[in-house]
Amino acid sequence: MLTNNVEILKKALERERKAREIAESFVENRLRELYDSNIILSNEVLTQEEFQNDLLDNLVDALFVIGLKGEILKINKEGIKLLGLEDDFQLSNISQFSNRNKKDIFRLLSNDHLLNEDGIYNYEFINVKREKKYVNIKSKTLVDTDKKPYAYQAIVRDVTDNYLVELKLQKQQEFEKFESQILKDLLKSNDIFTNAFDLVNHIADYLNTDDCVFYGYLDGELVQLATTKNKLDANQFIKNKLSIPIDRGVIGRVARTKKGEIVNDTSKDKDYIVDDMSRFSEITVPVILNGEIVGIIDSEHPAKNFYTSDQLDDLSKISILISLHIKNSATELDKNLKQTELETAKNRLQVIFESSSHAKIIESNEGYIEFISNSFLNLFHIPLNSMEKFVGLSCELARHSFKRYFLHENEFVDGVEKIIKKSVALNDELLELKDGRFVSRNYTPIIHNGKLDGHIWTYRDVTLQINYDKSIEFQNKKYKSIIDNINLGLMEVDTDDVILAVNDAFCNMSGYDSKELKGKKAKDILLKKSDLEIIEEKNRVRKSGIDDTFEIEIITKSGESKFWLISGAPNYNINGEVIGSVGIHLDITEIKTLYNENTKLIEDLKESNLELSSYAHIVSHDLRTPLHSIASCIDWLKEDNEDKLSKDSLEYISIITDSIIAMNNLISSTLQFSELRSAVNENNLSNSQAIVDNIIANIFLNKDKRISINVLKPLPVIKLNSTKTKQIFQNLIENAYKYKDCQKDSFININWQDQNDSILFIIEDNGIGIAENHFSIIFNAFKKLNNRTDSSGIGLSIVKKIIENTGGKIWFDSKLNVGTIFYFTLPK
Amino acid sequence: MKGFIFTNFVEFVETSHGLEMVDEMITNCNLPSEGIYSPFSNYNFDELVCLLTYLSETTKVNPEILLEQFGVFLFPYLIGKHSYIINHYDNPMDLIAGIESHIHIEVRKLYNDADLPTFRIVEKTEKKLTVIYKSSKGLTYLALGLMKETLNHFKVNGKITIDKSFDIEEGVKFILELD
Repeated sequence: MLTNNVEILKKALERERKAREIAESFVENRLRELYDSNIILSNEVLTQEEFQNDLLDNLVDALFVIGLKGEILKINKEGIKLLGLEDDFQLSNISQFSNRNKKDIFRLLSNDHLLNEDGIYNYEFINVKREKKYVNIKSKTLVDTDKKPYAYQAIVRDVTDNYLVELKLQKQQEFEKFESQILKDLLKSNDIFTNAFDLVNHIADYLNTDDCVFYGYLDGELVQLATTKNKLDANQFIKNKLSIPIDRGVIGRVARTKKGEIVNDTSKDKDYIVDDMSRFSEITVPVILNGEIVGIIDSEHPAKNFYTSDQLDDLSKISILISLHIKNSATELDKNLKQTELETAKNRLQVIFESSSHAKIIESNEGYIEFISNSFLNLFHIPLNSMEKFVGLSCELARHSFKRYFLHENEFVDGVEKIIKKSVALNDELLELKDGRFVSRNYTPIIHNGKLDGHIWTYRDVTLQINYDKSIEFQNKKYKSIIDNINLGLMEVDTDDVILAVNDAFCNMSGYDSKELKGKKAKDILLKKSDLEIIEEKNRVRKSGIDDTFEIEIITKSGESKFWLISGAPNYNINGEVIGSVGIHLDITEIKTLYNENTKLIEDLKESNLELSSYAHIVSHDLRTPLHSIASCIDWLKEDNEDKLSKDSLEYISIITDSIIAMNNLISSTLQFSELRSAVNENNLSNSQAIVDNIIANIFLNKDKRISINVLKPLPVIKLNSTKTKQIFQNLIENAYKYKDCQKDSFININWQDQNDSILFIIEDNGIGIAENHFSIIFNAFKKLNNRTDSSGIGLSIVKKIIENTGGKIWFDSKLNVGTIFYFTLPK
Repeated sequence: MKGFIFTNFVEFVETSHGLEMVDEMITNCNLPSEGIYSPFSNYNFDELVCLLTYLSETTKVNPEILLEQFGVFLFPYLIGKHSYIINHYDNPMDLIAGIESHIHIEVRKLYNDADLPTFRIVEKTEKKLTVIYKSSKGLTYLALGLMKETLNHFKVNGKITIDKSFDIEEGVKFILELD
């Protein structure tokens, strides 16, 4: 274990040692490098030679010492500067320069001209920094102690600045010559074409090209006025003469910006327009006077990057020089064009005037007719060929001749004179003609340069329009009177519920007059606070274009509460937009009161009917019990004393018994009647044939067969419950049977007919008939026409009630001793 | 890779797992350098990978955790040697933000050939710093350990998270948030 640990430690130690060795050698290397650079530094102390170098560096001129093989042996600061080298440039062979400059600099330093020891050599070159340098060189061959040449010394003076100044002066001179030439030509002639022709040729010469165009700015377009020879045809006219709108081409662009430009590569300019041929360079200069464009000078050259900014400056100067002159010439040209245009326009106006549908007369300031239109003659039914007669006629005469057409002759004449006096334009003065037509008179003074020059009179037949207006006015009046007299309140409001108009009825209804209502909100004046929500909801609905009707409580000016029925409809403008609403208001207070009273009455009636029914029911029911007691007692009294009582007494008892039976019948009927009243049975369907068969069978079961009862055709199914059906038929058939005439062979015929919406039943007998004076009481309850005990007299009133309750009718036809026919209908 | 990383790593293993582990690791890894590291020289990065992998496999500790621990271990060494740089800073945010613009420039003065990672500042407030770390070696967790120790050095509490959603091709996005 211990040995193991020692082994591990040994290995670690070994590694550390080796790492240290590596580190030591690294540090040693570094130290050596440091030592070397120290040596170099210490070598750089100032020597005698370097003193000379400093001296050379202070020289104004560049100094080079060049070895025979072209190597740079010495160069001073100015030399470095001249060559465009960095300050820390190390003396070396010129071959280290980049290829581009090598040739130039090599030539500068080459032996050729360095050998020339006499005189000064002029040279130009482009240095490393791509600066063009103009230099004077003075050189000398250096010889060693053996008089053997070993190098060349060259003092090079940078004369670039001087040279450039000289060059500029030279250019200036050239330009002045060019300028004076142009001026001379401009003064020579006043014709814009000649001038422009001279101008383009001079400019082309000056710019060393054969192409130049002058554009004049006429009517918003740039028109080629002159070009160099290359664009002229054999007759000296411009080939393919271009007119360029101000928004097109390089030329248009310059016209817009008013700033001259050089295009160095037209293929890259999207605005470039090819004229006679495509060229790469273009120079374009605007000619501007008082800030306005008057023309453009444009020249092109086939080579790229041809024009210089100096040339642009020169042309700009020329453009200022010529602008005034060109403007004058262009104005002259423009004037001519305008003159032609004016004549054309005049001619057109003449045609328009003559063919105008309005009747026109032009009167000169001196009062003579200058012109009279065909339609004027037509208006007054004057033959067209007499037009000649009128022209030149005194207007005063004419007026007196025309006045006979007008209803108010003097008004026409006076009117004209008044209008002329004022000489102010007048529109649509209405005059009535004798033939019933209306004309409208318009007047326009002709004023030229502030002076009255004449008068235009226009007449228009407006009869149709007048009649139309009149009829509209009549209609309006009619509707207004309808609205005013209508018994319904009308109110128009805007979308904010502000009242715009109300009619008389509305004022009467509300108690307010229209002044009090207009401009106010209806809901604020007329409504109870609690109803505001309703009307707001209605307004909202109405705005969405829906009509509606509703009832609302209103408080009138006197504070009365009224119920109004309001029907509102949205009101639209011509564009179909909702601009408010119109409401029709009906005062339903009385109807509503009446309706409320009625409702209450019906309630009361229902209640008392119910009370009556239950009373009748109770009474009839309670009456039976004592009646049964009376009947039983009378029976017993008769049985016990039959032998003891006198004949008269027995007769009385018999009468009592009959009366009790009659009374019992009466009570039964009353009970039945009251039950009928309160019955609310649904009307189911029932088979009337079966019911009638049953009734007939009952009659034959009990009674004699001295009567024939005939059902003439099978009876239909009816919409009435069987109890009620039975009551109807039983009463009618039993009545017929009861009141049969015993001296005849009696019959009862039962028949029916199908009518549109009902069924008609006919029950006919040949009984004793009904006397005419009883017709009116036959259906009354509890009235009977005899004193038979087997009838309560209530039957027919029940029948009538049942039939009428279903919506049917009952009536009869009867003749004493002949018979009776009962008719009744039941709805289907 | 600079030799001082290796010398420190060996020292780190020695401190944390003993000299035996160092010996065993160097013996088993079969390294071209034979485990002899001088801080001035450069060594192949693979050697570090090899050493780390061996350590991880032997100790069963995730290499990322080992790297982070190594970062914590390395921090005092870097601080101690270069206090003239560190003294410029009085808070961890400025220090970390200054890695790229200041510290690495100082490093280059000494080691012109150093292959340094980049620390691009995305967002820096008083309490929050977001940096994109990009390195040819991807010693993300070494950087994390160093940054954590930076917080400790300045006695500041905070947390450093790695935004996993960030595109790894663009680097690693660290988000430092101080409490």
